[in-house]
Amino acid sequence: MIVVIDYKAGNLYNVGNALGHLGAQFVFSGDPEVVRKASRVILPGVGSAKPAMDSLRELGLVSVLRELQVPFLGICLGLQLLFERSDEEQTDCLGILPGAVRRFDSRRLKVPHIGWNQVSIKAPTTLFAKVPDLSSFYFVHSFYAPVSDSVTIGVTEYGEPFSSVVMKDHYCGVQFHPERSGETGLQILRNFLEFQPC
Amino acid sequence: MLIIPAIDLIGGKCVRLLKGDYSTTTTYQQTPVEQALRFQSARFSRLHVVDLEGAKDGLGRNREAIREIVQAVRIPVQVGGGIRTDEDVDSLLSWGVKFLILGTVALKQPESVSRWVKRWGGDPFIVSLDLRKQRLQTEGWREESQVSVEEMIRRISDWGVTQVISTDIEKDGTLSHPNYATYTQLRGLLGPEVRLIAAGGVSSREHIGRLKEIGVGGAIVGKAIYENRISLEELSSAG
Repeated sequence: MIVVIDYKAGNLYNVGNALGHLGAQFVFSGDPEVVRKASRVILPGVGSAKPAMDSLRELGLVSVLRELQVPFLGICLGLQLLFERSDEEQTDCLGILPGAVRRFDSRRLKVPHIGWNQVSIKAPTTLFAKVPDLSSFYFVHSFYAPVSDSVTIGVTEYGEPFSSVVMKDHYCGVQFHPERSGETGLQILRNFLEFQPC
Repeated sequence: MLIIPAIDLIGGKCVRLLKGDYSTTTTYQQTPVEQALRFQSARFSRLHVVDLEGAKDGLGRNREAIREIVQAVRIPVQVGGGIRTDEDVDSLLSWGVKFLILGTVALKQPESVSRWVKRWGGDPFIVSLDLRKQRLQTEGWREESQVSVEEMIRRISDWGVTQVISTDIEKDGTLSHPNYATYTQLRGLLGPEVRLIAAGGVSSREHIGRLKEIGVGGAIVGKAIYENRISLEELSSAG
């Protein structure tokens, strides 16, 4: 069963709608037992890092997520939580990926970064099968993961380049909202449902 | 595209203001219920009702008229003006109001809205972004907000609200034309699942056609109807 993590961080409807639209069988759950038995896990991102990590800790999900052996997709905040730390209230995150999440410089840029923006694919991945390079996706975020050689798969420019797609083994993350990015976004979700880490 | 005729209420009567200025009130003859039924028979599929005194002083008068309208019509009704408390939300939804329009409260008490969407989901709520020269306005358009448009869009995204009304106050009640640039900008910022509803200056089929091209999913029409600038039939079929 595909599990969409319900960590009380906010609205899950968009993700649920998109998966329903694709005909996928899934459950919303914050129960470690359910997550442990999942065939795939999606961590949607709404709200901010600290309350999200607090609630993952409260639910007993931190170690479960770190030890997952199945494909995992973090969306938006869900990507950011994969890293070691976030500058958002100096929060310790899951630490599955190395590095820290930074805040966009609001002296130079409009923050949050909101709207449609392009993703440039740096390494071929089945997560982007049938998705043309430089396709546009919908973003809403104030924090970002800097580009890193070890995990960055897709890059987007907002003031400077940042990681819009990251991947390590079976852990994937996208900074944009595939569930809110039209047909191209749905294709990413479809690809994730078939994704087999190599 | 959804064309939504407006009923603005002061003292239980239908009125129109110019650019949100309470000193320029025009009061119309028909009762709110008569007006609502007239819109329903002209085949509109939703009504927009605003309690202007609620928006101004938070007393929530005109609520009786709103209740009568909801009882009288079959089509969905969206209500705005002075919705601030849990009691406001509970009572309006229990009367059968389909959508609650949140303006000031969404800017000033976001934690209340978070509580409501947790309880009712995002669907019964519409966030209103009232703009004057691209700045958000609150308190019945008499005060400029410190909250940025981007910050509001992030909140809307978090709440899972799927409808947004944007009024360009400079155009409201002027019968001129909508502020297309503003709507184009907002369309680019809002998630694709969000229906953007334009209000202010919409007074012809041509305006509606252009809004549709921009990707605006609804238009609220007020004065143009009351001043017979456009016939109800022409309007309800323009969507």
